[in-house]
Amino acid sequence: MTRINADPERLEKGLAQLVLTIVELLRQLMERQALHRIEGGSLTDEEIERLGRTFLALAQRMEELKREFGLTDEDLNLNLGPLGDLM
Amino acid sequence: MTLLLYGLTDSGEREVRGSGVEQVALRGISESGLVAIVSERADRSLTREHETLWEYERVIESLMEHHSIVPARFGSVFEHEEELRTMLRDRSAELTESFRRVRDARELALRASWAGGGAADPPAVTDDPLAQSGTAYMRARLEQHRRAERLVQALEPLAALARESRRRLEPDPATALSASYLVERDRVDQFIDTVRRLDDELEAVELVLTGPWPPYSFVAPAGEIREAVS
Repeated sequence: MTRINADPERLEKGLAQLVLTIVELLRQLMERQALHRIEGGSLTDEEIERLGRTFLALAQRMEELKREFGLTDEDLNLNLGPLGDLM
Repeated sequence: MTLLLYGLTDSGEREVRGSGVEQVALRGISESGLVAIVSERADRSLTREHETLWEYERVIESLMEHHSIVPARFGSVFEHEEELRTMLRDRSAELTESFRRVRDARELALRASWAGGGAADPPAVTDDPLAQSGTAYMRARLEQHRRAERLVQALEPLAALARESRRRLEPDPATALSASYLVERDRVDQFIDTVRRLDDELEAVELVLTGPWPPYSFVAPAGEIREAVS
């Protein structure tokens, strides 16, 4: 029998941690993809500017949300058991 | 009486001695060519208090001085000996392979932080993102990414000393690289000396080395959480 601690505050923080972890994973993947495309020369100056503004705004919003929920960069990860950490 | 599992060693190793969490004596249970190192507990509950976690960690580190260990996941409590033996029999092939992989080796963790913080840290959250140049941000990120990739090359002597290594580039804006190295016991001192030398040589990053740790990053933990910890 597994017990679940249903403290609402901890549940909210846990849920925020899970959601932000996924968002951060996607942000990093998309940013690295964009960096590869810049290196490969397949983006126009206008596209680079637009992507840069988007990633910048997203990074800033992530900082705000981490602060709001009392989370650190280290918190935004998931242990996948035998597969190691998510990020 | 339940059993708290700390880790596995092999049956050919030295007798299990010492004490576990709350100073309860450790003992070994042999099954399928492996020895599970356990201590007895009155019940299955185990708090995830800071002190208990560290005490558990210290027991495993102490065991590492005399044994090669496949560490257990914190909170692996078994109802009785037969339940533990069943787990060992069921996972015998996998656990024996894990043991072979980490035998006579230690884990060392390295973090390379950008000296002076990240080059492309997001500006303060009070700044208006629309006022920033997206191109400048992406160029800075690209340059930082290239620097991180060059750092991987510069740290190659560490990977060469290790049996295995795992690394993650730019896990956060302030960190160029975090890595775990599985290092043979008699190479640990040489590894530490090499980190010191590289830290002196590399001006772009500050290296922080921790360990030796049980080889958590290189094996699936033995056992499993059988009861929620609170």
